[in-house]
Amino acid sequence: MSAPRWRRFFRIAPFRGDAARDLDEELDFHLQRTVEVLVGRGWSEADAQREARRRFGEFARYRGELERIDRGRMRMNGWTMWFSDRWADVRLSLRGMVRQPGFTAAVVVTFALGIGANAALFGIVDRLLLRPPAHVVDADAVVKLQVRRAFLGRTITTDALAWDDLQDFQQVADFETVAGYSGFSLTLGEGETARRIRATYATHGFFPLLGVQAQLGRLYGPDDDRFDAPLVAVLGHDLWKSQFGGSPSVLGTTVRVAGSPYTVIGVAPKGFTGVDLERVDVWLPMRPAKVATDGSDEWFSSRGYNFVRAVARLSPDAVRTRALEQATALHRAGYEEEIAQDRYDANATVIAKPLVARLGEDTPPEGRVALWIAGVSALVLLIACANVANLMLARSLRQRRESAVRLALGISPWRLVEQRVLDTLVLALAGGAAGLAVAFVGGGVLRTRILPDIDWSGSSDLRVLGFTLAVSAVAGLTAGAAPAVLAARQRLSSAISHGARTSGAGARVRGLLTLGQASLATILLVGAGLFIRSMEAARSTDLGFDVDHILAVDLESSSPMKGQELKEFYVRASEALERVPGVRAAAATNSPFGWSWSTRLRAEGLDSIPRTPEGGPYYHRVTQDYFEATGLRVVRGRGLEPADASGAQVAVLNQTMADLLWPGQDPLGRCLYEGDDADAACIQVVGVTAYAHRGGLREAESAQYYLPMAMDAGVDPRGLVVRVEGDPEEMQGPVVKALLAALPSVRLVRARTMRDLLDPEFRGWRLGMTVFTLFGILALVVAGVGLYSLLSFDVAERRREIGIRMALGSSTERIHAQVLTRALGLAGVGVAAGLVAAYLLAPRTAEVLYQVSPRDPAIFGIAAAVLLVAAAAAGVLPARRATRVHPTEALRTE
Amino acid sequence: MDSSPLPLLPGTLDVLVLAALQGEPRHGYDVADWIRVRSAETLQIDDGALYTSLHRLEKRGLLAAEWGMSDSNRRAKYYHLTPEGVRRLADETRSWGRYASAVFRVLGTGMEAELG
Repeated sequence: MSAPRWRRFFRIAPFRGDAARDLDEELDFHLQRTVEVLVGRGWSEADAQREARRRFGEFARYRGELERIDRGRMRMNGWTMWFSDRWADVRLSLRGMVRQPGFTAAVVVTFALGIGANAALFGIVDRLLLRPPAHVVDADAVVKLQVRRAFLGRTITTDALAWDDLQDFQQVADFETVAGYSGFSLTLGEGETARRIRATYATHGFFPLLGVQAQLGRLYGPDDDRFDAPLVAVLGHDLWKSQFGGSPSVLGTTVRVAGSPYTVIGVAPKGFTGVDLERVDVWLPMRPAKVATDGSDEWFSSRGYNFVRAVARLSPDAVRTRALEQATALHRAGYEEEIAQDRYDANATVIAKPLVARLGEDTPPEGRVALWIAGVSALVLLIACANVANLMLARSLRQRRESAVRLALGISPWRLVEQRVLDTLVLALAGGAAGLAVAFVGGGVLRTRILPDIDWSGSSDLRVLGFTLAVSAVAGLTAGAAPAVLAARQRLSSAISHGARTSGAGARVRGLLTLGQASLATILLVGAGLFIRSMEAARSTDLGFDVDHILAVDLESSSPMKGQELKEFYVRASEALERVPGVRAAAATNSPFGWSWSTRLRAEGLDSIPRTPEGGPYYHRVTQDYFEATGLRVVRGRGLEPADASGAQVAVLNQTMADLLWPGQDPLGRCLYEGDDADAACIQVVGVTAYAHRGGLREAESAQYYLPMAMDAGVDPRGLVVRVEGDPEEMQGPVVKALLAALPSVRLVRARTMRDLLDPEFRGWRLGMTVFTLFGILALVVAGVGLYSLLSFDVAERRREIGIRMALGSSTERIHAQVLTRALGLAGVGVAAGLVAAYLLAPRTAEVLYQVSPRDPAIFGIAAAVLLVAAAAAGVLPARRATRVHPTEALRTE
Repeated sequence: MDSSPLPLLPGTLDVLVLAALQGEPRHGYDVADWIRVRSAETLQIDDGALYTSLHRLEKRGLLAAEWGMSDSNRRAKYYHLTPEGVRRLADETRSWGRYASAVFRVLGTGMEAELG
């Protein structure tokens, strides 16, 4: 008889952990034992074996059943064991955290600031650069169409197109649909409660093209977008909530936009901003609404009015390049006549921009700044990680004896590493949670202060949450890795016998971390310095007028006015203003800050006006007190006089124009002629002014001239400039009141300080300055604390050595000097590395700076000095502690 | 008294196994032997069914097992009660006692006395 089947199993070496083998061994043992006992009672071997199997029952069935049960048990055990192990580890970490509240707080706060800054910036970068605008279906197929063409010797890319350009694009076969939109700032309501809102005219095809649905009511369709259609409006979600209480009864009511009554037919969904990211308060059907606002349809009739932006959705099988070639061909055909007369670029090209800005040339400036700050916040997080790693390292060295004992007790080094990493991870997650609070508060402030026009309601909190979690995990692992590895590598015996004595490797790593912190802090401080200098330079830029005392005033009358009537309206307005106490002068102009006009001009003794890259010459038609009201200095001859208001043909040039036309000669008394007419009247030059900027800080000086408003009947004033004695902000109220009282037909008065108008130009620098300074100070403090803890640790470890040296007669000063030398040495190397890095990075910052060299030696020097002073300060306390060691006490510590 | 083997009432095997492990750890053969001896070979139980019960109780956490050396110097799997197993055994013993005495009260006191 062959050996029973189960015997085979018996010879297999038992192996713990393998369920099937364990089972077989158990059953083998049982059957063997049964046989043994039976044989012992006198059974024959064969009978005993038969009896054993009979008693067992159906072997195969039971064995299968047992295996099934065991598999279930192992599975369960695997999971529950893993979880209970992890949970025990987490509890150990948490207990450790509670035991050392100071340490925990330091680490959590460090992480919270580092992670919070990154989460806040991620929220902004995510909205600006990573996701398409909200509510756009299949955004990849939607493009913004723009035209790239030569203009005054430069290549420009423009998205402001003529109405007819839009009609041309509609012929392109590869475009499924083409729609136009155009954003304006318009007045909502009338009288004292009137305010400016962001309105967008959009063709009816705009909504279906994007795939957006109304939140309430309906969006307008083709019938609402005929030139003669009754006026309807779709409210933006935010305006609906803030102005109309979010009530459905708003449907069917009438709102007044730019003086015209619109029936509200719907509300757009929350966060819908079309294809751009700026908030939109009201959507108006392009054709009837634009005509109602302008009082005429002239903007639709000529290619001279560029006001529409074009969006297209490509057909599913479209070829992008082919579509753009077609669009380009149609566009050039549309300008055939102008091209023939050399008034339009024959090589004008239609290009497509995706809705999600690509990094590189497409990146909008605010996105670029946001990326820079994101880089900075990543640096700060790095510093935070380094510092936490340093703290963990110091702690793990203090815990060496404990670790050594645990290792000796048979805990695997890997488990120890795991525990250390887990410690940091738990701390990082706690920091991440706190960081979320920092992100939501700080991010909110950052968004509204820096980019107030963007509609942030489409931001994804979930993505920020996910990002924060991921960053926390990465930060925890990064900061935990170094100490953990060191903890595992230490030698058992030496650790136990020598207690807390630093290993060479640990000291080196901690030294390197401190050094890295010093260099990162240096980089940030250099950045802060560059932005501060840019901001100073920008602030002190002489714009040519009295920036600190000017109010720019817009008026809107409730009935459309033109020509003489409008001029009289403005003259009455400036007269009313000049009666207000505190107002020094007021004048009307056709070119408020940011506006530029030019016309064909000839000059006495010249065949033609020389062309300049800045364009122009630009004219300003102003009332007599203009120079007084702006503070623009007249450097030669005279300004405008009351007598000129009756139509005198006189002009005041700026110095740039005088130098351009008649270099080195006296311009006074010479003639300018407007238009092509050969018998045009002489406009006599009566004065020369200093230079005043037209509309920005960064503009190159251009030729400009000033004419009396009364000279040309066809010119409409567009704004008032008011110069006040004191703080212009305090004068805003009186100015608005005076105008509302003096002009019964006025619908809206807006008085803004010149500083506010210029503010958007300062945003980038202010943002950079704020962020770099804050992060720089944070990094400086963190690096200082890191250095301090490193030195304290050093001194504590070398107590014995210091004690011996003091016993041998070393002077206090020598020991002081030694500790400080070490502090300055570490910081010095770090600072040098930081300066080199800043020097190499410098060219990349040039585009965001203003009138300061990115390698400004003074700034580099100051940053280095600040860091070295901080390092010295960090070294003072440990140095003094070192010399307080009493020789005998030091000898006793071991 | 009739001594032919009786089939086991469903649900009783687990209690018997728990009872067998009261006080000391045993391996599977010992448990089977203990039950056979204590029941005077009245109960008819496959050894396979016994092992099924042992493994099931182990899975449910009422028993735990360890490998150890047997008297014959071979590796054997020893089972012992977990605290939960001890509790369960006490519960089951109590309810079995109540159940049995209720049945005996119905059937008449003679049998009860005989068992007593």
